[in-house]
Amino acid sequence: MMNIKVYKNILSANEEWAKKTRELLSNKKTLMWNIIGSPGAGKTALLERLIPALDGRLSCFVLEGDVETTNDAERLARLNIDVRQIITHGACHLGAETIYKALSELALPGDGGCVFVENVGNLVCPSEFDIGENGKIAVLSVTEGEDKPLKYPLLFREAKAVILTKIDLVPHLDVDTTVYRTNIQKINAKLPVFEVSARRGEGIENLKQWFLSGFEKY
Amino acid sequence: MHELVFCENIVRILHEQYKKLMKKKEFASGVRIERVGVALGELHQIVPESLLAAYEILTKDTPFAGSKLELRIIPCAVSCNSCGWNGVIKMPFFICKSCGKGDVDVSGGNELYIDNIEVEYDEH
Repeated sequence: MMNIKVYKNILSANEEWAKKTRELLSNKKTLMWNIIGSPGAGKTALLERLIPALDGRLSCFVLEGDVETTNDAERLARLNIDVRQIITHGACHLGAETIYKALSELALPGDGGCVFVENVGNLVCPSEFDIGENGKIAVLSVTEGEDKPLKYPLLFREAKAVILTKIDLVPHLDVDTTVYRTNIQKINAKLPVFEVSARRGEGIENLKQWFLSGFEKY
Repeated sequence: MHELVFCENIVRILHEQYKKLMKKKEFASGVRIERVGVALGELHQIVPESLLAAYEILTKDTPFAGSKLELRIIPCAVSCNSCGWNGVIKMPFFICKSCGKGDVDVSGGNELYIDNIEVEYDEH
């Protein structure tokens, strides 16, 4: 019997594609955000509010990941932006190769591009895969429960920001947004948290400023 | 549910390794991969039982059929930017065990790699 050292990253193939994506984004001076949240957390509704707010400052694109249907891409196409639907047919996350190929088809400008990847609704699997993004953004709605950050630590550890959605519903629920914040801090003390209502537009301005400042930070 | 994807990647790497081994002189008379050692950090949300079950299925009819996948679970550790403490934490609380502050960097628990393989071969 002989023992042979291998020391090879299991996700190395995915990371090769992620590296190519990072190079492409860097050449185009474009930022890409990986939006991760549960099904129904309000990811699409958030983009419907945020993208018009960013318009004129950044050229926005969306890569829309779903297990089935083109519903979300159809909604976002009404914003007159380039949206590509990626149907995974059951796969629980988007991989770096798929993203690189979809990204290569976009007519990205030479500067100021902003790509939102709306990942498949799932708090577990998408957190594990690097798609070459500048950052993962966790989207959590106030209806999901205050302990969710503790139950899905990897996402909240990896994320560059948390967007707490549907805050207009707080008066109708037995939840406290400070408890959400405390639990997020136990995972990642420095993580910025934005409270927004996509329905009413509350908090969108702050969020817009954060995305605009991303070009200085990342 | 993504254990299958992780396992597909493990098997892909094993095929690469196997090809390399076959080219070596000392293994000219035949070589079998008997054990595969994987380092798995606690931060990854992988269910060991699912990974092992996927391994059995995906290695069927390959040169590694019947080989043993051994997982070495590495606990989550942090280093504290406030007081310099470094050590293992109790998941999921990323808080320094010495000063109680949350400004910590992950220093362990992110591992996800094939560490080593054990092969059996015919000697001449």
